[in-house]
Amino acid sequence: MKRSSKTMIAAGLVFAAVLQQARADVVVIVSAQSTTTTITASEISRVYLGDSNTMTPVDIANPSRARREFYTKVVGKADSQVKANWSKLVFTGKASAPKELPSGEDVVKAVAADPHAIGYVDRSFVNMTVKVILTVKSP
Amino acid sequence: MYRFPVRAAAASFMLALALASMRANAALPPIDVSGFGTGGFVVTDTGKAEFGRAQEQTVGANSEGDVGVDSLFALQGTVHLSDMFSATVQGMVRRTFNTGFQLDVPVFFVKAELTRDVSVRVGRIQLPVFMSSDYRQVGYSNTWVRPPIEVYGQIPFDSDDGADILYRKTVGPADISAQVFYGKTDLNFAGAAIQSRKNWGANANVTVGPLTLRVGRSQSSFTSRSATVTQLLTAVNAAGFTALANRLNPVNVPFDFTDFGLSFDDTHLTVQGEITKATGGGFLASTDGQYLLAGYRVRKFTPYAIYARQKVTSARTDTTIPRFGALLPLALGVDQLINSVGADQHSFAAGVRWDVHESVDLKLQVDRVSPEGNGLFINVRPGFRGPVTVASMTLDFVF
Repeated sequence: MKRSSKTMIAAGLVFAAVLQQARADVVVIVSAQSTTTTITASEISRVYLGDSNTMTPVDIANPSRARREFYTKVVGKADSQVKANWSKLVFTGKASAPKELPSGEDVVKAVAADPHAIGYVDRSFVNMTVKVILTVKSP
Repeated sequence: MYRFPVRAAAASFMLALALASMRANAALPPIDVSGFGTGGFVVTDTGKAEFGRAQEQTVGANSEGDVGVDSLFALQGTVHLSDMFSATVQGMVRRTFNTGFQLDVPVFFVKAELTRDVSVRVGRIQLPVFMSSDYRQVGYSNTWVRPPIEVYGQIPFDSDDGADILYRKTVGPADISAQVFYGKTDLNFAGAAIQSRKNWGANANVTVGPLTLRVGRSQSSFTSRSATVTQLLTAVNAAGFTALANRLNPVNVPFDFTDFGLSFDDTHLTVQGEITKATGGGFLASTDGQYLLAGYRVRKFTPYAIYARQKVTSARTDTTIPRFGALLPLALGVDQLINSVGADQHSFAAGVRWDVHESVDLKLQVDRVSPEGNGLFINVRPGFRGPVTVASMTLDFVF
């Protein structure tokens, strides 16, 4: 009886850890060399909608949990609105849409290399070359 | 081909590629390719006039239905020559100035990003006179099926050959963009040639949260050459009304345009409106335009309504020539000339945008258009009377 409850607790902890891993926080990152130290979610949203040009946004290609979480919680607009907004800028040649990179590793690499770049990744990808400026809380 | 655009664009594109290939490492520069398009069908309840999307369309939709009003396809390529320089070319197949579809190059330019905030473009750009000028052809970027002709028809062309300076800056909660442009526009179509010279203007846009405010001002010098107008004015002159003939002479006529715009785009509510004023000299009518669009986004569906209006503010008749006897046809001819641009017309529209899939939308829109006389309808036949009901369905995509 005692043993089985212990086992269950252990199993529960393992399960929680796995869940934790799967639901790791998504973080917004800039290059370690960037002068940006703090930024509000609204400022990030404006950069990713193409309204503000203070930073160069980088995307992870769909399908991506980090991308879904980031756009739902930080940008707060429907995919179609985001796409419609960028199309306005792209088809006038005023700006280029965010680069889409295949993985979190690539995003970290690209952001580290450009002091103006901004990206989002699962926290597990973060290393010394980038710094976290916002954490998107998991539910 | 009317504006010889394809050859010029191809030449500049080849030049860009040549410049790029001269770079030391000889690797091909990065090229972005993207595009957009619309497939549309429009049908009205009259067979006595045709409904067009813009003034430059010479064929429109009537009760038999038509696919040429809104359908178009555009492909765009941007070559990044260096961190500072890029070249962009856009080719578009659509119906303009002609009965069939034709290839046109509405955009080709070389851009220099001088700083993060300032860039200069030289080449052909979209004439930036309205709030949605830059992306009026990109159905996917707009809530409506098409920009209301009562306002967007006030200027009969949409491109500018010249240069502009773009400025963008974020100041606290405000995102600011401003543009100054200079250039010219040449149009040739059946029976007339239009030259718009010394096009210059400026506009500023401020976005704070969901709200964007815009103000724009532009002016140009307008020349129109057509055999019928020359013939009419020669007759007016011969009849002794030299001062009138000179006043109506469509050479270097000043044309001024002022635009105030507002847009509000939140999670659910979307509102857009503009108030415009076109002031023409000579035979060009002066017009006021207004429209307001309001929509409410619920997940993938956005039902919306639009009201639009154009009002002629200059004289509709000229009383210089007495209206009797042999002079009557001349007086009527003059009236026809001064009414050739602009009309009194208003319309109500209701529609729904459905975001079917990523990068694809489907729209249904019904317009109730009330013209004064012929209004802005084209190919009008005797016995035409408004109001006219126009039903449209479009599928828009971007890639």
